[in-house]
Amino acid sequence: MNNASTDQIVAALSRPAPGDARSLTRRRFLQAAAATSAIGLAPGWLVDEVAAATAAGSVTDGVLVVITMAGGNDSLNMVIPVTDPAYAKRGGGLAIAAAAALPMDADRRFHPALPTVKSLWDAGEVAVIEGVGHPTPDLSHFTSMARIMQGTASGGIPTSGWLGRAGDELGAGTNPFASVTFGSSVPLLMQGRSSQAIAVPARPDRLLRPDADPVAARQYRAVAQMGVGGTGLGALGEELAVSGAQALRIAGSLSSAYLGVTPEGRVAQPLTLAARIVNAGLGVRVIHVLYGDFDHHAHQAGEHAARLAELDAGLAHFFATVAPAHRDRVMVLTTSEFGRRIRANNSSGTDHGAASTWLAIGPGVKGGRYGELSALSNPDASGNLRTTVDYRSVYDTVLTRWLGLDAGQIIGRSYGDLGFLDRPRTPPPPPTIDVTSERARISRLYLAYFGRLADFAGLQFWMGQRSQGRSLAAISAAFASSEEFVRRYGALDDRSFVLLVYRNVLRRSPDGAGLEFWTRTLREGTSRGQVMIGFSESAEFVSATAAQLREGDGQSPVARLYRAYFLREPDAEGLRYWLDSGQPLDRISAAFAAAPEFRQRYGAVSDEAFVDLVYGNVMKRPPDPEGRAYWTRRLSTGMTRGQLMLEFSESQEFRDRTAR
Amino acid sequence: MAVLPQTSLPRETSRLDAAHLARRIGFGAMPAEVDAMVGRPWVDLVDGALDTSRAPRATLGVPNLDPSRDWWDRYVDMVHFWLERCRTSPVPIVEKMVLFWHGHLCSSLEKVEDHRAMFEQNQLFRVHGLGPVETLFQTVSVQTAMLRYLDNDVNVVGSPNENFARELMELFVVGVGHYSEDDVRAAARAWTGHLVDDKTNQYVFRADRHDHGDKTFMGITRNWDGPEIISHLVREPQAARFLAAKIWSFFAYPNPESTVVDALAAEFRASGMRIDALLRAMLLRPEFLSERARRSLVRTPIDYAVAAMRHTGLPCSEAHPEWWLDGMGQQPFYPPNVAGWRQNRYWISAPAMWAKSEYASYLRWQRIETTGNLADTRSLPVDQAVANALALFGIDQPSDTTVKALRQFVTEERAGSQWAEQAGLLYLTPLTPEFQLA
Repeated sequence: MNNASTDQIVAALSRPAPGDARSLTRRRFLQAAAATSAIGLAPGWLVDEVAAATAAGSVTDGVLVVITMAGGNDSLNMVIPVTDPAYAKRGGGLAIAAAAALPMDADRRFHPALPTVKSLWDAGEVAVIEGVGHPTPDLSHFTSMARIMQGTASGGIPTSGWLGRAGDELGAGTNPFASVTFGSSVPLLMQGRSSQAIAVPARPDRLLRPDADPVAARQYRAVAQMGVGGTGLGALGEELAVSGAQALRIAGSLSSAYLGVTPEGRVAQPLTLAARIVNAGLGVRVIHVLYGDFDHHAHQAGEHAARLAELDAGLAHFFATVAPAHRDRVMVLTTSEFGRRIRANNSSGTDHGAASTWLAIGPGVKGGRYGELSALSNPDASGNLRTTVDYRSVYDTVLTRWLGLDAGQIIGRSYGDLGFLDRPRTPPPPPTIDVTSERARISRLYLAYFGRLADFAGLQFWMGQRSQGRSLAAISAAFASSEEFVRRYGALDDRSFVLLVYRNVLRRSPDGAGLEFWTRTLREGTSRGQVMIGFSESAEFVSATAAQLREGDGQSPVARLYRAYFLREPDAEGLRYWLDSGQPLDRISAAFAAAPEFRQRYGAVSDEAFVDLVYGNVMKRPPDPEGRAYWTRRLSTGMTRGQLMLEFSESQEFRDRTAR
Repeated sequence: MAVLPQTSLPRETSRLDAAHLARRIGFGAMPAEVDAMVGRPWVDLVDGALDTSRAPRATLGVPNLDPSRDWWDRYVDMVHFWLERCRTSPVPIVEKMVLFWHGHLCSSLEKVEDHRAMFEQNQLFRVHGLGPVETLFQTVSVQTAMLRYLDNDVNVVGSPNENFARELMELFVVGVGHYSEDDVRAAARAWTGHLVDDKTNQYVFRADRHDHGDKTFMGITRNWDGPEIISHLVREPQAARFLAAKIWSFFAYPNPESTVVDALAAEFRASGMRIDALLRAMLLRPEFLSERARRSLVRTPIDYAVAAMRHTGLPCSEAHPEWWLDGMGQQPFYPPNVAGWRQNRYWISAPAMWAKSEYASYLRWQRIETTGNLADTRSLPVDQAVANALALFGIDQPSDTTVKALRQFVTEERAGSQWAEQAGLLYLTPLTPEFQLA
């Protein structure tokens, strides 16, 4: 029996992407250009509003990566029901011995080729959703693939997919990068009603390189030139004329993500590129990776293991490549048009099945098992697993809980929440700082020893020491030998030292037992440095200084960078992340300069316009001519925008303006 | 019989009109072809274009589709067979109509899984694509490709499958709003028993699987059989309007005025629903020569790929359009769904542009290889070098912007590497908006 390949099925369910072109008609292209130059000329105080209107979405917006395991994945061998006695009787050499599989829970084990999935499961980041399928299964690839891609309640001619329609709502009509699919065409899944995903190459060497050699550069420049100035060819002619420039621009935006090598592997490559596209801050929200072929009618065991190993490696690369700042934003969903027959066929393979197991993976996922695997001894009339979870309820869950959309609008009605995203996606922004962090410990030593908050550089230095393995006690000992400390406490005997420490650190007189305890401890040979840790880490001091530390964070240079870069107060989580990172300010500033929030605001403008904007936004005044000339010259002679922002944010003028 | 306003049609066809006609009824106006058309009466050109007696025999050079051959090799041979005919046929309207029908009476190799069946359908469009529409519809409905694609091969008494019956009315003949759900059910029952024989892989009528009961279709109750459904539908006035509007949209511009549709439908019906008569009526409408018609179509990728081959003189075996058509968005024999390809904006996208760019780049190196060397244009004035490139690709009226872009390229190239001027022009000209428009 001839079986259509996965490629053929998906090709049949694919078409090119007009969405990006539609959003960039010539008129809008020109409007955007005009708006950009207008910002450059506007007085500074007008700029905040304009810039705010063009800023990208917040970085907390969830990103969904859907992997289509095309061809029909044998999920019984992906997540193995080791305690179902019928499993071992699959035949065809398919059953995997429990001892060879990777431990998961009492009743399930992972395929041996899935160590990454297993470790993510152990971290509580994998939801295993069993029994996913259509209420009335159809064994045809075409019909089943069309169904899971279409994702509607009503069926009908498939003209759009559930993720494409999500893309409509997520701004794919205005930002071509909101919805991204890998390959040369856009599968049904990624076609929306009013927009479509942009199809990007799955290999780094397949991207048009606008910055290639000089000859190619001249040719690309001519392509871009075709869209400059009207053509008189009518609306379609105008769109075609700018589409070349647009294609080059999109390729240019992607070029950083496509630079450098990627791991080999049909799924590792696109997943690595997907992670880089997330990191690049282009505003991506939904990503599709097609991976197959899982249609193993013959000699399945080895083939399937190889497919799963590639998938596992791809997931490892994906989560390793996603930058820490974005890690909490990403989740991966694996799907397949159907599972496979429980019993093997006569060719050591399996025929088309019905229900299958899908995986949801990521830090926002509440790990565990969901749905229900029907007993292998109780198959449907075709010998397949029964559907216990409507695939659309998986969509409902991720649309509602991860992408924040109205699922009813996208899939036609509500199918309920499966609960695998019940883990709060972003921890409630804590107004307090993490008092147990190394930074807090060192900060409290400063407060205890010197009665003041640490300066940023000093704190960074000691955090560096700490991360290189130096103990808190050793740091305290260094503080104890400091001139400042010796001058204050050096001449005192142990008892007077304890008394004074009580007064200076806890701001009270000692109770009798406390005084006795610490004096005896010192007499028995404990160093003053150790005792100082006893005070700085006491529950009393930790609680008493929390507000002060929080205040200190708000006055830190990193907080100033937030105000200068993003024109807002830092969010607690982000501020804490950067302060805890121990990175030097220039590195943090460089990271901020690469943030989507910043690039959306300033990315397209010239250096001179950038200087004008920064004066307006940061200093709230137009630039003086000398200032403008000076900074523009610096930028033209190698200073990065990140370095300039740091200079502005650390300037006395800015400190004074933002001092509270 | 409708009176055609022929007085407003050119007695001496201009170069512009001739090129427009050649692009629409074929795959690109070669300068020599346009030269031969200029000055002749428009009506003569139209009648010449529709004279299929000069078309090569359909059986000439058919591909070897033996199932023992590699799937992809068979596929490429099918694509090359068709696109070579597009490229070389002296009556290209025949192949243009094959393209139209492929996107209207859709079947896909993906689901049909049978090269021979898909090729049989392609040949049907070639042989009957310009004749009486009923012959075409009756035949396509009982070929393996369509029977499999729309599930008529599993449509049996007691378990009717409505897929074909529904699309026949919704997408093929009359359009949404001109039939009821009861009509769909009745038509599905009428088509039961029209199956594919598992052994021969050919159409077979199995009386024992056919529903011989009475069905009420379009208000008439009797023992309908499938083909009678088609005979009835194509005689509905709506069928003439539906097809006239779709064919006009494909050749002239989308969303035609109802006056145009009515006039075409009248001619169409008067001819006994012959497609060539509809095409003739269409080409003789003054609206076909209007500014709107000239600007309202983007070349489909297949049209684009063939035109680029024609203008560079490269056959499929050297141009390999099959490598890029999927990226451009139109893979032959794989329409995206039963509704076929959309048009115009649907073809404009960054990924499609990337694919066109790669295709154009490949073609220019292939051409430079076949012509032996880089034809040196550096001795020519810049304007002349640009004009030659535009003429090669049949662009008679380039926009100032396009000319400026190409001119600037040549000037920069002469100051730069100096060796890539011809290569650059061969790459850039097919990427101009003028060439991408139909």
